[in-house]
Amino acid sequence: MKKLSGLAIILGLLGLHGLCEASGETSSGTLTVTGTIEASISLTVESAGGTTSGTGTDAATSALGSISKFGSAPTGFTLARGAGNWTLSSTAGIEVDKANLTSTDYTLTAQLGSAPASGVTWKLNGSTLGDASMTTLTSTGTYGSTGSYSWDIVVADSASAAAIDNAIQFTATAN
Amino acid sequence: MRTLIAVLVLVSAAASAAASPARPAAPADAFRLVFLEGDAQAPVRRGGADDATIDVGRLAAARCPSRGCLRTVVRRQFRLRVDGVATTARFVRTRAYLQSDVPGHRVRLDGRLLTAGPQLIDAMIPIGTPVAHTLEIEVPISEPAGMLAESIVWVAEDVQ
Repeated sequence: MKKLSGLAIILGLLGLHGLCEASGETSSGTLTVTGTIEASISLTVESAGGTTSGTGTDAATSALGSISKFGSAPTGFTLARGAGNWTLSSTAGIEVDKANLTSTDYTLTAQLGSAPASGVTWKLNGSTLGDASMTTLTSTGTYGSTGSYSWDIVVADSASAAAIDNAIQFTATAN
Repeated sequence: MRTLIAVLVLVSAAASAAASPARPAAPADAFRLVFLEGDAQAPVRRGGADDATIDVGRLAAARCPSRGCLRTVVRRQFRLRVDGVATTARFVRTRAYLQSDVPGHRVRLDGRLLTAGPQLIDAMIPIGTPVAHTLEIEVPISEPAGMLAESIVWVAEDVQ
């Protein structure tokens, strides 16, 4: 019986040896991936008066159609008639998001894309916008939530009947 | 019993001697893993015998959807060729895993999410033929800007 056990061990060892030789050949290597994570912020127009397209992106368009002092207000606007002028009022919703950035808030400014038509004044948050300099809307904007800013277009009764087309350029800067 | 042990030693020595010629001392690996460029935006730099570094460049959150930024993602391509060195194998299978699983990071190879455990990437590829792979890395937007480093270990096995 002892001899049988010894033989079994020998056969077992030989079998194991053979098994090792028949196992699959392998090789390994390492692919190291490097890169640089950059901080970024993004600004989107979430809402605005008028017939708006492109909300949720950084390039929205609001069409007001034909406007007049004694006509009806465009969609999303109210119309207030004053002595010598009239005002269309609405709001603009702006959202700023951040990624890979430790900043806790941001500064939002706005500027007209071109000089306003004569007799027409554009306002955001009560401040008159110009095309030569930026107007600060907030210096403590909260990331990830939509900030609502009052938007007024004041038209003098003396203004010529003409298109008032313009662009409001928003700029967000991380603090 | 002494005879038995002697037989065992002799047989074992004979088996080792017979196996020796088939196992060259260097290189010990049966295959050579060669990483190649597959994307102009991601240069591959060869390192040691089977190692390489791929630089995916800058990762910045793409234009965020209106619900806000979710992840910062980069997608690049490269190729892997497995050469036979000391083998008669004609095909290999490849597996890959992350050397260290960084919390919050997601590394995908050809759409498969990699973990610290080996995953099958290709069940059978011919020796000597480059195979294109897509590498996708996601990092959480909460992670501060800085350097990215991930190590993917590849294992090539012959297909019996």
